[in-house]
Amino acid sequence: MSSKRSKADAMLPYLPLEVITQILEKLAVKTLLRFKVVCKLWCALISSDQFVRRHSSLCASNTQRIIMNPSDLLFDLGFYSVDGSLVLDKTSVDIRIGSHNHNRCSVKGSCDGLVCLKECVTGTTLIWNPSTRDFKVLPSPSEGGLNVRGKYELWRYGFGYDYNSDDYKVLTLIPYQISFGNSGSYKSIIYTLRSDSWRRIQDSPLGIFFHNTPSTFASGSLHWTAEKTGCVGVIVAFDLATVDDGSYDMWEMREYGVPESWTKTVTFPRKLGTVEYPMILKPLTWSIEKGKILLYANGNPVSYNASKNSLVHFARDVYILSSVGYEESLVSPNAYNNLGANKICPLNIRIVLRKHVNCSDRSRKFVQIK
Amino acid sequence: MSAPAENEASIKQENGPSGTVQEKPKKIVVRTGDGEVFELKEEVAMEMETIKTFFMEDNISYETVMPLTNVDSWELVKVIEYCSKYVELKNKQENFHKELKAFQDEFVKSMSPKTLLSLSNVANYLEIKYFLDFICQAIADHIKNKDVEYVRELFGVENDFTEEEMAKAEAPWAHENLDKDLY
Repeated sequence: MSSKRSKADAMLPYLPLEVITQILEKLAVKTLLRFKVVCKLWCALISSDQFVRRHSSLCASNTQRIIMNPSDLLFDLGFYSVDGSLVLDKTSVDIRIGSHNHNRCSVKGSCDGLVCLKECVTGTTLIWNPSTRDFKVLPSPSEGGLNVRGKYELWRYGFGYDYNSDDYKVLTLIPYQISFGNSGSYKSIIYTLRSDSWRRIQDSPLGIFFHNTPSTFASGSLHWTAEKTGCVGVIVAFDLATVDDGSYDMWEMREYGVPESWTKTVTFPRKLGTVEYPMILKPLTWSIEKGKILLYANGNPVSYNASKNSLVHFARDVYILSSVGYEESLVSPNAYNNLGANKICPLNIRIVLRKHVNCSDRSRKFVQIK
Repeated sequence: MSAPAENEASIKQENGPSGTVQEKPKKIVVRTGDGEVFELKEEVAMEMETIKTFFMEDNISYETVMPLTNVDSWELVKVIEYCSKYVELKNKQENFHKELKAFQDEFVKSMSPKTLLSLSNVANYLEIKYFLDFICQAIADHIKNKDVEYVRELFGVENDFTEEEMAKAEAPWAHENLDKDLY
């Protein structure tokens, strides 16, 4: 008996690396950041590209979040999970540019735990990982000699990952300005993390007006809702929902590019509520977890449970203008370019995150609809 | 520990009503690092890739006693316990997940963190994928709210960072709200 005990206690000095990796893979981002300082070996392991990739694909499914960008006026993002529970209370990000405190930012896209943000006044773009707080400021397109001008509010953005070149890219569509407004033609420029620069690419097709909502990145492509001339609504790449008899069906294309693989996942009504207080529902996200999906109801976010036909409100005090899906990861925007994150930046930018301690559950109200 | 121990799971020879001898289910014999000999049911032994490969690859006869030098007898007992249960539930098929979960909860209850680490090493050596996954998850669940000192003590690693290096690598906000455990 005693030999058994002492054998277990006289621990082998090191577990093999593959075992340590398997243990660490199962931990959350915050825990891993803490364990980086256990020793140099663990630090190297957690920071390695291979581990980051594998971990982000493993933890993506259980850290699906929605980032709510209540308005472009205040930079208060709320991170919510699909059942409507508040995961991280509003974090405030202060971006100081020059001597001014600018905090008008909007979320333009998200992929692999990286979020693409745009500061509204200067048009500066940033790529940020909210879980690790790592961020990178993108150079302005004009720095690369590209001739870009015009109102930033009209620019459209897409952010995603290119499997072929193992690189993250930001696509910006800049409308050609004509005297009577938007012509439906855009100049396209693309930025990649590896090259850390912008370049011009082929213009988007004529006559398509892109909506000012964040694009969705799925199956290697960016998808926008847009309108063709003549007010014909189109989705550039795939359709999110089809309207049918007063209810929406959520369709999922199980195999990308295969028309037969469209499968109906969840059905929710277009309207709910009473005559005095009708609610118009619109989809907020395509992500469905345990039969629940997030919807807009009159501009407020709700979590809808399809099997029970019931709604849970959350974040009642905000009116949502835009939102984006997000999952936690260790991916760093600074890891792709060897020129380094510490390049001298002419803009004095500091990101400060303040956590509001009172995580509000008071806004949750269960509404049973029948 | 001189007398060889027999695994309780070994099958006794059975005699049918007419007195004929039924075919004996195959057994595989292994010897652990601390010299104990175990007889395993073939079905259970084949869950361990290392053992499977040893016998299958070169068509080695089951008469051979396979040496498992890196495994201790107490560890093998635990492994056999888990794998036998797993195979039993797999064959039964109904309520697999529910019963497995109940068994898993009981299984880890009695184990100290260091025991879990030893078993993870053994699971890796014997190449039992589902068992390794289970043990790693149990370890991860145990350490997720522990501080860095505790983890170093548990894994037996030294802090080889200088003060400076540590400050650079650290994210102070990640150290909030942890268990106050002393190992």
